[in-house]
Amino acid sequence: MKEAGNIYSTDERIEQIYSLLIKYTQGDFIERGEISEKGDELDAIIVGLNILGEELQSSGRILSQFETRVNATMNILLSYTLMDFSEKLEITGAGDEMDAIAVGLNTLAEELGAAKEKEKESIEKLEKKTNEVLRLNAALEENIHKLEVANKELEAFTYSVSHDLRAPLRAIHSYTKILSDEYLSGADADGKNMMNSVMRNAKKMGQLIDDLLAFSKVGKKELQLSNVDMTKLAENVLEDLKASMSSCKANVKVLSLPQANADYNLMGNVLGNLISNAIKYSSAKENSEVEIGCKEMEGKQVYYVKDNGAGFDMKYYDKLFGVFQRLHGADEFEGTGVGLALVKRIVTRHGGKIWAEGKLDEGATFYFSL
Amino acid sequence: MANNAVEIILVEDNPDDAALVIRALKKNNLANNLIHLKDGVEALDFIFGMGNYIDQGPNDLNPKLILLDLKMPRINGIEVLTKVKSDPRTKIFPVVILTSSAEDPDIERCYELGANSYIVKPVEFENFHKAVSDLGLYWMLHNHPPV
Repeated sequence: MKEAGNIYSTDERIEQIYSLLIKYTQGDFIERGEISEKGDELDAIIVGLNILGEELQSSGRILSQFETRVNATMNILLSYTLMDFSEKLEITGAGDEMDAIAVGLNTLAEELGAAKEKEKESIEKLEKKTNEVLRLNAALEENIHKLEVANKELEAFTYSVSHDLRAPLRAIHSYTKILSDEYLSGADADGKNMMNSVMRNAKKMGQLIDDLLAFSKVGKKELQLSNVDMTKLAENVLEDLKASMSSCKANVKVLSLPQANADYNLMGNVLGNLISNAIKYSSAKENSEVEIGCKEMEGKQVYYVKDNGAGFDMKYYDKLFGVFQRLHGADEFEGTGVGLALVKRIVTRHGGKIWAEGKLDEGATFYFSL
Repeated sequence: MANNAVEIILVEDNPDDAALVIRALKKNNLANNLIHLKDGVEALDFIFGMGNYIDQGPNDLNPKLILLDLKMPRINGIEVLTKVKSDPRTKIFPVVILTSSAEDPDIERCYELGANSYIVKPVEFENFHKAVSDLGLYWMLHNHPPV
């Protein structure tokens, strides 16, 4: 009875003891109990019962003198099988077999009781742990639900931004334009400048909204990976950029680039931003050069876009890829401060890395690996 | 204006946007037979002869173009489009969606529902003016509407 688990699978010796007691009280002393190899209290009880049976049989006496004690023993055994170990048998002090049985049973009850307590404790512990797991699981589910709700709200928010923030800007820009063209065409230079400022700012805010939307979209959309011909993509992007610019003085070279396993549209976005930045920030130079290439660094293919333009001070490097962070004034170079943040987000989503080197007035090089 | 003379039905809740659309069409002399309805409820009433337009029905109409904004209070553009394109009497009316954003998740749905085209309302006046003018000219002059 050392293993706590045993008390729940009723030991068949208890039944044996029980049936022996019944038989002996009925005057049937022939049967003997079987002793196991365990040599524990139950075996001691069976030994006691066997001796009792032996004596009763040889003396031919009936069990009347033991009747109350046998009945008490039987009741105790019954409550033991029901896992109630609170009651103990009285030791008469007669030193007979019934006393021996009572001692055995009492010891057994103590052990079983302790084992039961222990079992109860471990069950309580288990229940506690189970409850804890259930509680954590519920909390997790609630968090997931909250995240889903937040995500939906964010989508609604982006939708709302794209619609509702544009409408007033359209009115501001359009009506200023109509005023300027048709009603205030005779305004002096100052007045015209002011109207142009209104329109320029409305337009800029429109650009900001578009850039922010693009930025938030990159986080949501699933990557569609394929083998991307980076050389061709860079050339296409460059062509589109040149078409949208009034003039491009820069001498842009696209070297041969290895293929990349990447999202085609997003990679176009990365190259588009980096190349247009390179052209933009070198536009003030006489002989501006932009080079798009790839080299192996620490065993990895690293794409780069290099220019000899305005560059940047490495002191402000930590601001380079932040949203709305700019290292140049709007009067120097136009921009919303979203481009590089977007590029970084795309590269990171591909599991890649992006970094840059720059020197003020000497140029900048942006590197990325995928 | 008799209903059968209406050539352009403009459904737009934003009065400033509506005025700009009308202005751009006017400059191209395309706004003579235009009716401006201020939301989806008015649009459905007008097209299907309900409410204030109980005396007419879809059979009295012969528009060359419905310009439909998407985001409107009460009944939105998608609901109007769904009704117009699912009724045999009105599904032949050309519907062009006006939307504030190319990012609009509803654009794809509009095409599925049978929208004929869509234009993004840009922030800049010049682009907006040009988009509306081109669109008006295309549908009013170059396109042969179903008879």
